[in-house]
Amino acid sequence: MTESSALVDVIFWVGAIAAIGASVMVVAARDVLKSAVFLAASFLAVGGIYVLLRAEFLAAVQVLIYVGAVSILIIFTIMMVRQIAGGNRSAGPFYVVTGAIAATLVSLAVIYAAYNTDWSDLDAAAASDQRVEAALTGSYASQPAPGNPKVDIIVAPATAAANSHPGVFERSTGNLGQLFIRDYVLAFEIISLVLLAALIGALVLARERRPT
Amino acid sequence: MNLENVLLVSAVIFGIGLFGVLTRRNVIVVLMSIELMFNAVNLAAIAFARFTVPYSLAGGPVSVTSDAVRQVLTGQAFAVFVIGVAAAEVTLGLALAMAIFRRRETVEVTDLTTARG
Repeated sequence: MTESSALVDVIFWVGAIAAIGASVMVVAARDVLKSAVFLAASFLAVGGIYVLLRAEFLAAVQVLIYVGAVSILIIFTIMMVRQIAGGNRSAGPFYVVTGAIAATLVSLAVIYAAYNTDWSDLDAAAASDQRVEAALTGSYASQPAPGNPKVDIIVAPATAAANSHPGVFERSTGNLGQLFIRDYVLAFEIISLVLLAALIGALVLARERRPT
Repeated sequence: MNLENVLLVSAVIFGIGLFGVLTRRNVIVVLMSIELMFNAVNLAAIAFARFTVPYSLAGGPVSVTSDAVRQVLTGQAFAVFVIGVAAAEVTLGLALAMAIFRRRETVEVTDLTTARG
C-alpha cells in the first residue's frame, strides 16, 4: 500500500534526511553534549514520520518520553559527570573498520529483504476488499454477528451516518487503548513492573555512598 | 512514501546506531547509539502496522470483525512496549555509568574490562 501524495512524500523525505543526518552526528560529534542534542533532534524527526504513518499517539509519546525525558536525562548525566563531556573517542582503527563492515552488512541485508519481498499478499489495498479498506482508513458500519452478539461484523463501507464508525487509523489512539486493556493486558502490567524495578534500581545504583 | 522506503530509513538509522555501539569508547555515547537502534526498530514496527494487514484480513476474508481489524494496530502496541523497555534501560544505564564513574573515575568501555568493583 502506498500513500500517494506528493506533499506526504516531500515531508517524509525531509524528515528521513533530518533523522539520518542527526543520527550520523550523534555518532560523529566530538563533544558528547552535542551528541545528546543531535539525539533529541533525531527523535523529533522520527516523531514527524510517525505522524505520517498515522501513529499520532506514538508521535506524542515520542516527544514526551524520548525528547522530553530520555534526552534530558542523558544531558543531565553528562553535565553531572564532567569527564564524560570531555571526549567521544573512537576505539581505534581496527574497531572502526570492523564496525563499519558489520553495520553496513546488517543495513544492506535489511534493505535487500525490504525491496525483494513481495508484500502484496499482506497489502490491504491489494486485497481489494472494500470492507478491510473501509475499516482501516474510511468509516464502516457494523452489526452483531448472528448467534454471538459480542462479536461485531463489519458489513460494508458506511453509507448512512447512523451506524457508522471511523476506521481504525482514523481513531488510532482509542483503538490502541482498547488493544492494551483487552489483548495485551498482561504485557501492559508487566511493563509497569519493569519500570518500577528500573526506578528503584536506578535509585540504588546512583545513590551517593557515604563512607561510614 | 511506501513500506520499502520507511524500511530503508529504518535500516540506515539502525546501521548508524550499530556502528556507534561497536566503535565508540564513551559509555554514554554507546547508550545513545542503542537508543538510535531502538528508534529504528520502532519506525519499522509502525510502518508494518500502517502498510500491512494480518493474514486473517488479507485476500478477501469471509467475515471481518471489528476485533480483527483492531489487530492491525499490534505494531503500534509493540512500539509502545519497546519505548517502555528503552526508558527503563536508559535509566539503569545512566545510573550505572554514574556509579562506575564515581568508583573508577572513567567512563570508557575499554577501561571497564573487569566485573569486580
